[in-house]
Amino acid sequence: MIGISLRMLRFHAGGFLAAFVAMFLGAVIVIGCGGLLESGIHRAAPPQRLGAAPIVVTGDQRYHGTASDEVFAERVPLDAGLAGELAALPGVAGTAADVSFPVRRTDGGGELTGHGWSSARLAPAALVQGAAPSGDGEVVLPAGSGAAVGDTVGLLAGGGAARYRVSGLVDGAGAAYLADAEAGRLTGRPGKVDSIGVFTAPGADAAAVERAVAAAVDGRQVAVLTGDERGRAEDPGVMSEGEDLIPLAAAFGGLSAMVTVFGVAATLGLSIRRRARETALLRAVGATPGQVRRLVVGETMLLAVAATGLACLPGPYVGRWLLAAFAEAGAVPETLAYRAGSVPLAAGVCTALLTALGAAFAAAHGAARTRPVEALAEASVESRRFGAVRIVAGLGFVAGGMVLASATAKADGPDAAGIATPATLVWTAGCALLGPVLVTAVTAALRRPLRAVTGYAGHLATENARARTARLTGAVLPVMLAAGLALALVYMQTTQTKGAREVFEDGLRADLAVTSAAGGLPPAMVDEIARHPGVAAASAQVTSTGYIEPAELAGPLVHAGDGGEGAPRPPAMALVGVTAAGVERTTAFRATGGSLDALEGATVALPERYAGPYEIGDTVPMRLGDGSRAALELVATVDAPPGYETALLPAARLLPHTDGGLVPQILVAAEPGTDRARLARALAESHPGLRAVDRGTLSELRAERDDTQAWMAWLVLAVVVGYAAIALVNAQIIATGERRREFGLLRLAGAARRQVLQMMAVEAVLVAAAGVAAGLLVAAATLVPLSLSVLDGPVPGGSPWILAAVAAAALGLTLAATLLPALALLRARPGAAVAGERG
Amino acid sequence: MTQVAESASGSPATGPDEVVRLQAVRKVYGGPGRGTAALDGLTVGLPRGTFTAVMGPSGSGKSTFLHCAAGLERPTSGSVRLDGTDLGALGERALTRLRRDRIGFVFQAFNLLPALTVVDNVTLPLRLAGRRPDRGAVAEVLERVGLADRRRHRPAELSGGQQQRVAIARALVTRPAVIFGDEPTGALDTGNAREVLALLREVVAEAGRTVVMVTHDPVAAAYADRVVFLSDGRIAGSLNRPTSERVAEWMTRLRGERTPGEDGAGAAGGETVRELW
Repeated sequence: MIGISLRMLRFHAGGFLAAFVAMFLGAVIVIGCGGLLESGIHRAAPPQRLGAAPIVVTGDQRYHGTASDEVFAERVPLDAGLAGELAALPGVAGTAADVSFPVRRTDGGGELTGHGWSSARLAPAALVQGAAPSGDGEVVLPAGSGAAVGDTVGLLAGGGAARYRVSGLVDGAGAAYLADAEAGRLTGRPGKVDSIGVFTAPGADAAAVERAVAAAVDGRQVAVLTGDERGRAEDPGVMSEGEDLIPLAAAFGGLSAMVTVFGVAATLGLSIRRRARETALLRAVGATPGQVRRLVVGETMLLAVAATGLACLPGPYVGRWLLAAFAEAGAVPETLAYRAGSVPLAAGVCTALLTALGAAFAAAHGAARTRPVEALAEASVESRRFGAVRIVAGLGFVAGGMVLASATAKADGPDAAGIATPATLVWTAGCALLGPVLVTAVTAALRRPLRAVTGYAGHLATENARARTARLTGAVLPVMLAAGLALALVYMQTTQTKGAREVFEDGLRADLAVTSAAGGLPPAMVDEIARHPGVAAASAQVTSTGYIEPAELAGPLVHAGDGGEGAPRPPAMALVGVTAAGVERTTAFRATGGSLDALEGATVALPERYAGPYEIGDTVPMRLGDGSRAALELVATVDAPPGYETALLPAARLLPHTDGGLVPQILVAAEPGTDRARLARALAESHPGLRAVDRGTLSELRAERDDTQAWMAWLVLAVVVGYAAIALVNAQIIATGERRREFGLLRLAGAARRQVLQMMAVEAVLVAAAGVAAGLLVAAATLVPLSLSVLDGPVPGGSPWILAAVAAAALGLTLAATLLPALALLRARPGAAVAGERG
Repeated sequence: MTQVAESASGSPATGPDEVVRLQAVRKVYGGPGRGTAALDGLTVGLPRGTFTAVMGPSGSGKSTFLHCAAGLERPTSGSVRLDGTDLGALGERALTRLRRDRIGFVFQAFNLLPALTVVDNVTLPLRLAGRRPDRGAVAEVLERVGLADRRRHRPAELSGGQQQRVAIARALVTRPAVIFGDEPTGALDTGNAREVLALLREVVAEAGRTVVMVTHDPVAAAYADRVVFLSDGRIAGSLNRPTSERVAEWMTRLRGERTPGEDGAGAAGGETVRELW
């Protein structure tokens, strides 16, 4: 049988090319996703700036003891004193503490990162000229920055501006070194450092030193890193965003695998239908249905092995490219390294092969049912049988889709999309299985209007569609898949974006927002701005993420790694640091119990949903963004849309536990009747580096931040929809190629080329319209519940032009992929086309 | 040379050595009630070692007869026995196996898999049965059909007549109980058709096989031992040792019956209706 399979493959190479391309591209994407997944698991980041120290000690970003090992959003700081402690360990030659903070030169130029001079040896950065900073007011800049030793430069840092004398120049770029004491002050977190580089003494056993360091910090929220892990100390985002990469890659890979099943099944189904006569002949001369099934599956698997084997070559490059693209967009840290061993390759290959096997079984099922009599029939008449299994499976998927739809509608706004994405696939699968019924219904509805405008060509086309439902279904399904996925995924994004914007704008009551180019604003600036003429109220706006500590984790710090399934899952909650005096006039937060005026000192206002067991006046144990514990008195509860629950803290309490240590933004409510533009100008001029923007601009800035997140989704979407589009083109080319004989007959009967092309154009329009209509159905089934959850209405967010663009693209692709092959077929003499048994 | 044997010889319900026996077979297409009967209570037996041609006007049910006799379709009612086996009792897989082992097919066109060589096409039924083809037997069959020097050619490299001869070789290779031909010369020119028919004749005369051929061509039918005429799903008569002239006469009459007034077919009408065995 294998021999026959091989010869069939060789002979029908053209027909199988489409399936081969579909499998190859699918496998490439799946393998690339495997690589992304493994990179997310490894979270390796080769150190750049800390490369000289063999051991780097930094804060442990993980919230140990929770079910999913939550990762803290802010950098977990170390006590500066730890450096001395570690330096005293045997085998340690010395330690260097590192802090980082944003620095900008007042005379323009890009953003720099400020450090204390002692961390220069971690890079290592060497002085090219001049001397190290000897005290306050001195700075060492990169040699290429245009400054010379002895110059005076203005620097914005730590929320203020100051003038510095350039004491020296170092090699490398992007870093500005200040004296250690001054650098510590500018971070806003004096007494704390980001990480400590540990240098081993010559001749010391590095592994032994590492063990000693680990033993010394045991029981503290501290991580000891070596090798490629050290990069995590440079950017804690490697931990949190690297972790985000795992579900993203898994979802992306899963989506690609499922789309591949559809793509491969559709192309295989069409190429097998094209050989229906051969199959019938095989059946007539004695092949059992099982043998036909094995033949088809065997052919497909041979093809799949070749396609997947070949895909192993470009697969890793695609993964690398995706990661680089994510990093470029700022969605993952640039230092996160692509790490893919043989596991993702093997997993990708297995997924791709299983995918092909699934598609092969689907296609073989139809082929095995070919009746031997079809070999005797002059023109193969399509059998209209339509398996009960298929109907039952289709209805099962539709039922599953409904369950997911109701779950989507009930889910919290931000979580709804997580359910809606698989729902899209379930609906697509259901519609694909019920395809013939759906396609018959849609074409029946379209027949009359199409005929009315297209004359005799339209008549022929619609009759073809009616007689050849299976062929039509094979052509329509890829269009449905591409259009449905494109519509569902695109509008899912725009709906979420709109939802987030609405929540943001609903929550905003301020007229202006003040930010600074100096990395943030000092807390004292809030009062100063509040006293500014024309300002009615001002509030700090410090954002972070934190948790209410579950009672189980209240004891000493747990270090047991993953807490496992039974462990508590505290919900990550947005924390906002505010100023009690200005919060109600600048935001929409209103106390539903207690009072926001009492937000001073160690207090908190919790969203009602999570305030549950606590009464006003109770002490709530919390974990702040940097992992530190805080016992806060509950002074108020606030209401929030589901999924957007936010806890309010006094800005002064939250600020020391954020990366910046400074207020990123101050919201300002203007006195009634004040000219806001003039007020904005006045505020901006009050201090160097200040910027004041109005509400609209603020909303746009937030949207830009949102876009970074959305960008990953867009990229994923582009790849998946691109793949679906290729499957669409493939399917149309095969479906048209099958009809060489029919075109010949039409030509012999007196049809001009133009008339045949007109007929095909009408058929293509029918296919595209039916596909877009079915795709719209799939998209609507996903988007309506999502919109109900996110926007409280059935209409998804986003421009209607997206729908128009998707429909136009589907129509254009279908027309091109139908008419170009038809044109090629029509070049043949009609007689030759009729005589030829195979096309 | 030929004798007309229009005797209403009352042959027994089951012949002594019949390879194919159809008993009161009805085949109705379409839904119950409104369906049309392609075979309407057909009873016929085909003796071993004979060459039978089945003729009739379009729509007379000759294709349906072939499909039912070969187990490609199941009759609505009645029974079909092939080489002693009741086909009605067999499942799809057993039917397939029976087709593979005891029936050979030669269709009008598209008999061969274009991907396979002559030898591979000929040995296909054996391969599907999981048997290793016997080299000698294959060579002998190819020799018999005169294609010993075309073993490695593909169907596209052969003439239409050669392709049909490959199909006959494939039909012969399993030493089947009966070979069914569905217009096997319908797509051939006169010369090639003659060669193929002579080959079928030879298969019966020298190898002792049984051949049943559906055709509309009186010249082709004249190669058979006997011609059975179908009309409206029933046996309309038969001719032993036919000549093409007699067959043509019969066909004219049968068509005439169906469209009375078109020609003077009524003259011999009385003779036709009694033709049953």
